[in-house]
Formats: sequence, structure tokens, C-alpha cells
Amino acid sequence: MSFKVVKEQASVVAVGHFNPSIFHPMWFAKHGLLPTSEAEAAELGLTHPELSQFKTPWLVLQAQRQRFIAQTEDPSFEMSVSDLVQGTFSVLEHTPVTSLGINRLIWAQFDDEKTWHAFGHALAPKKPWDGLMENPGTSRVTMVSWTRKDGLPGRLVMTMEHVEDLPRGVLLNINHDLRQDGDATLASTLMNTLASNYERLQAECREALPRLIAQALEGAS
Amino acid sequence: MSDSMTTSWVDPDAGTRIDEGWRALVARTHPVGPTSGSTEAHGRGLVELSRSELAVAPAPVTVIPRARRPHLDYGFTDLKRWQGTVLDIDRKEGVFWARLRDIGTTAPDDQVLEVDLLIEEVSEDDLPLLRVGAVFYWTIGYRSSLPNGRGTRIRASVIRFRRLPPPRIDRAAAQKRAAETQALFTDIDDDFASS
Repeated sequence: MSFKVVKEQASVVAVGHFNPSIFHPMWFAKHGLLPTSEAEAAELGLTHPELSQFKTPWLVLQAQRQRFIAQTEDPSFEMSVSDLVQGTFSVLEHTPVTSLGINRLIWAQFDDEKTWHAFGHALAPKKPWDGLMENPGTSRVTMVSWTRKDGLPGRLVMTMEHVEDLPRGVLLNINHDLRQDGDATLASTLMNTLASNYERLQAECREALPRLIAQALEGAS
Repeated sequence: MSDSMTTSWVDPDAGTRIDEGWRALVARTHPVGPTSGSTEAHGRGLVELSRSELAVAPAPVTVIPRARRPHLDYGFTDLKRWQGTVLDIDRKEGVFWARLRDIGTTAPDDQVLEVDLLIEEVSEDDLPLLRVGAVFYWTIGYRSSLPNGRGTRIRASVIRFRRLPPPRIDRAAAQKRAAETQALFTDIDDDFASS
């Protein structure tokens, strides 16, 4: 293995129309979605009509008027993120949710600079840039799959980028961008999609980086 | 340094220098990160507010994105994950019996495991959720005493019970269905009596 994963983050992002000010830790405790002790000890960032944010030891939750985000960096709580989002929109069943992101960020560090650069070259060859730029470097590469192999409405977006402050570091940002069919906005539809697919998609995400690196370096050699 | 080693990725220091000025400018004008209609995760972290901003929290809120860095901590490295269903509980013996399903991989182990687990492994917060049929997640792995997986490794086992809101009962609909069912049986009884 020419690299090691140093950190991962799993998240669910719901896009719709929300009232951020209700998303207080005690609201989640009241509805049985967080233990009361966790809600009481939550680090409260802000509760405001435009933005609410709080943290618990395993969860960061943020709500804006159009985005609701729940994320964790603790692997033992990844499934709990999905449960929390499902529970939230089970309580708020009439809230319109138009799209849903099942996401994973994976930070990794290559063992040596040569392999790191070989990977960067494989993703974005520098030959086309000859004469146009002085010493061009790969900053960010985004690939989009407009149709999904699992047939779910939506797309898959993967972005690979270099990481500041982490020597030989890369960040793979995977976004399973799932949409409602047609003009539907009922939260329950996308929550069913979340319940049925979260575990599988996160498992696929976990295996994406080793596969991408192996395939890129195989092509480079 | 070979040519290939100087051109693959951008100079991290240059990126930092550019980003600092850019962030300062953009933070005062636009929220940074995915647009409001995007389902993408925030690579730069969530909207990050300093403590002084949190204290005053004016509206509209000024949004300061934090630097893109992995914030390495002493984190938990998982080795194995299961989803469990509680089959039986023996509070006297302090154990519960559960069926486990392999999760966290695209090629899960098909073998169904049934295990006894100690009730004392369940957190105080989750104890009220321990009942037959309850679903929980069990992760085993290790915590490192130093960042980035270095230092002493301490074995860890985490059990977390699924938390979902209790199913809501539509009383009016339930009463209507009960009345319809009752009427159906009454009709059958009447037909039987008259035959």
C-alpha cells in the first residue's frame, strides 16, 4: 500500500426548505433522536433563523434555510448519522426535501512524494498545458457520472484535490447526489432512499480511494 | 528533484498564501463552500464561526470558512462493524443475545453470527433502548494515543443503539379502520345467523 487513510468523514446533506431555529440539541432529545445527556452536553454553536449549528462528541449538525447537514468523523457512529436524518424528517414529514447527498470525505497521505506526483499526473496529465502555464500542478479534479449504475435518480460526483497542511496529502470528496423523481418534494421518499442505500453507498465510498489509486498508478506505470 | 516531482500537485505553500488572502476577501462577501442547492459535503468543514462571532451572532451571519486541513486527531480506527438485532435478554445474568450482520463492506460476510454480549457494554444512555427486537451497531477497532494512528493502540468496542422516533399512530384513521373491520364481522355474523 503506497498510502494510508488518515481521516474519513461521513455525512448526509438534505436540500429543501427548513426552519433552522428549531434544530436545537434538545429538540432532537425530545424526539428520541439523541440521548438527553448528549443534547445537554452539546457544544451549541448558534441557533438562529438563518443558521443553527451544534456539536456532540460524534456529530456535527448544521441547518441553513436550504441545507440540513449531519456529519461524523467517528466510524462507530456512521450509521447513526443516517438514523438521525431519517428520524428528523420522520418527525418533520411535511418538510419539502428536493435532493439528498450521501457523502464521504477521505483524507489520505502517500508514503512518498514520487508516488503522490505519479498519481497527480495520472489524474491530470500536464502535457496539454505545455507552454500555457509555468510548472502547472494539479489542484482539483472533478468527475461526474450523470447516470447512476444503481438506477437511482441523481448523479455521482467525485472530486480529488490536494490538501494543504498535509504533506503528500490528497482528499477524495464523494457526493452521491440523489434527486426526487419529477416534481416530488415529499421528504419520506428520499428518506426511504436513504434508509435503503446509505449503508451500501458508504461501503462503496470506503473502497473507492484504494481502487482509484491502484487504477491510476497502474495506468501510469 | 525530477520534473515529474515538481509539477504534479500545486505547491502547498503557494496555495496557502493565495488562500489566506482569498478567504479573507470572500468571507466578507459570500458564504464559501457548496452552493445552497448542493448536496455536496463541505470539504472546508461546515460554516465555521469564531467564538466572538457566536457571542454576537448578528443577522445576516458573517461566514468564515476554516482552512482546508484534515484536523488530525487521535481518532478511532475501525476493524469490523456489525449491525445487531437483540434476540433475548437475561438481565439476571447481565447478558443479551443478538444476531449480527456484517456491514461496512461491499462484500459482507454472509455468515450470520449469534453472540452473547454483556449488558454492561451498553452505555447508560442506551440502556432504555435495550429490548428484544432493538437494532444496534457494534464497532470494534482501536484508538491511538497519538495523532495519525501513532503511539499506543487501545482496543475499543463501541455499541450504539439505533434511535428513531416512536411510530406515530393516526388515532382517527385507526378508529375508522377498527369500525370498518367491526362492521365487516357484524355483516358476516348476520349472514351466518340468517343462513
